[in-house]
Amino acid sequence: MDTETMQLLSVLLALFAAGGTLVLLVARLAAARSRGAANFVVACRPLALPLAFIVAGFATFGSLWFSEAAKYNPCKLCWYQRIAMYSLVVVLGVALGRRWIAGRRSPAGDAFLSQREITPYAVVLAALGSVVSAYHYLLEWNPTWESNVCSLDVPCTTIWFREFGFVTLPFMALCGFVSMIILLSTTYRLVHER
Amino acid sequence: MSVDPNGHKSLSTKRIVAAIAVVLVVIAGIAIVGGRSDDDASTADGAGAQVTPGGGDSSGAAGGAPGEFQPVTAMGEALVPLEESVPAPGSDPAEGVAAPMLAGFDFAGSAVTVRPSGKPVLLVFLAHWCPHCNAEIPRLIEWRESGQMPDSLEVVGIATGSRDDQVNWPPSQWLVDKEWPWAVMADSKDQEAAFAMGVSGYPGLVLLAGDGTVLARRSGEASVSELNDWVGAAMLSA
Repeated sequence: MDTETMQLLSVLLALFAAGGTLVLLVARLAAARSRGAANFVVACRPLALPLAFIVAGFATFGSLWFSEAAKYNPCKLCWYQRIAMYSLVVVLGVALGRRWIAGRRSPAGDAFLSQREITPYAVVLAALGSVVSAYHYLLEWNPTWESNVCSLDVPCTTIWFREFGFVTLPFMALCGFVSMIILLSTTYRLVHER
Repeated sequence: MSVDPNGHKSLSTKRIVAAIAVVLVVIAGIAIVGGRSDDDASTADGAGAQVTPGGGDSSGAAGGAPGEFQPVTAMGEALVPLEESVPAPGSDPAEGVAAPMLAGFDFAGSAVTVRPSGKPVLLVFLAHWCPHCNAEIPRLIEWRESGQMPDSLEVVGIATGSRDDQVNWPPSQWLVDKEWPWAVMADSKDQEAAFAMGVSGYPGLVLLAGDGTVLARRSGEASVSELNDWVGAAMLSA
């Protein structure tokens, strides 16, 4: 796969993840008043953990692809985001594995136990990552925030690409982190479980 | 689609999965087609092409041939790397030290040298992808056009840290677009000119006295008044 194709694929997936989860967020907020919205959230619930894992997995794959194949050397802030994203792959993967094992052992058991257990940890990791991503994205538009000097290596103001005039690597990371937060938090408990 | 006891239709998880799968297939299709289109477009308009205006190879390994990189020979001992962006007067250990002479080429392959000529010289190290360099060039031009720049001062821009995977590539065209009015030396891929002068950040400014000794160094953006004060103070101290 060439770099242009991977860039466009990543950008579209990030926008889809952000857009799709925003729909879920709106549905969750409207669930108390709208039966249709509540049904949508209920239907999404079994998918939340696998989708969050896929988002983290693709973001991890993408970051490694861009650094190792496209040679986009990661800056300091990129590494902080990587710490959060790579950890999420492991954390969510373990939760997904536990859900699968629990489902096989006890089909009538609580299918969402591992998701509820892991959600606080995953959401905190994703929140930390999203704060760094948001700062990194704003820094790209305001390079003087960090310093007025470009370092000789890879400064955090380096913009490897900007698709559609606004989508950059930190923006995509932000989409991924926010998607995971919405996926896991909106399906943590349903309205009738309160 | 199932119906609950109250007669409301409920979405099934399988339908959502199917919808997501369809969107993902569409996204993959768009990326494959769009990625190829972008590739074609970039080739057509020259963006990302590694060809210089002069038609030579971008590696420019051989001196005298057009290229974005050119061999640089530094004669003399390299200056110590600049540790502070704007060192206080007298605190830079390179001040008063004889700077190495630089022999290199511009993008077209014409020889450019930096050696003592009796006139002070300001070396401006610029990286095309650096946002601070992009901001600094108009200020340098404004400084010159305001008449505040000393008449005796010669300016040489040194295009360094160039990368063909970064914005504003190629640097030769970038400097044309930025209307850089002074002489230019293209640094080598190994940034020999920058390292010889101890540059540790872009934009890097090295002010040399007429006898080739270092008057002052700094890195980072500077306003017109800061440039004026910095150069004025350094030249007065000489």
